[in-house]
Amino acid sequence: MTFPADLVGLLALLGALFVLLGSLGIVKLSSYLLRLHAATKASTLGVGAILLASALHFSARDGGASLIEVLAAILLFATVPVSAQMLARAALHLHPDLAPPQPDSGSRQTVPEGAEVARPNHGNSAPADRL
Amino acid sequence: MIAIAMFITGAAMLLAALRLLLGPTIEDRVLALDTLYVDALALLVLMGIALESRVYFETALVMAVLGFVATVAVAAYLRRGRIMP
Repeated sequence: MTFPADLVGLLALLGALFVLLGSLGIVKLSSYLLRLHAATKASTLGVGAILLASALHFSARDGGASLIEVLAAILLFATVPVSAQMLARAALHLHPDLAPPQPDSGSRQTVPEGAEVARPNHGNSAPADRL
Repeated sequence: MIAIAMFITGAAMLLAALRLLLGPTIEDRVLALDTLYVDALALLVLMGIALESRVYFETALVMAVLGFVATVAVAAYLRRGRIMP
């Protein structure tokens, strides 16, 4: 097997494995936001590798650079994060309990009752009562 | 090796279709459909390599644009109740 064909096969296999990883994340993960991240990031990386394999294959076969795969990759890498953002906002609008807890409230729950915690008081004389 | 990659991508599409059928909420189904679009694009590109043909790239480009527009439209509808602002 020649060098470009070997590399094309390896890249296609790697990309297919990442696509499978993304779909496995869709099925297996527990929360919707986790599923969204798995699907968009892993699948986009896999399709990028497959498009790179195709660009290598057709560049080696025809001679000269094959640029339509680059166009498809740019289109995909620009549009998938936008659609993922729109989906996340729609999901947070429909199910507000999906939102992860704020860092402030999360740290307050781990502090035991009555423990003295040093809090920065930024020139504010009154103690903050909205902790 | 391209054939193995096509089989793996087909398995990924089956998993996404499983989430499309199972999905408890409507966002899960939309996400599964978006993933199915992307996987079908990958499968088309792999088929173009296997068949030594460049005809399928135009189909892949159109599929990428259609998947993006469909996902954004459904997400905007779910969020605001209408599609156009």
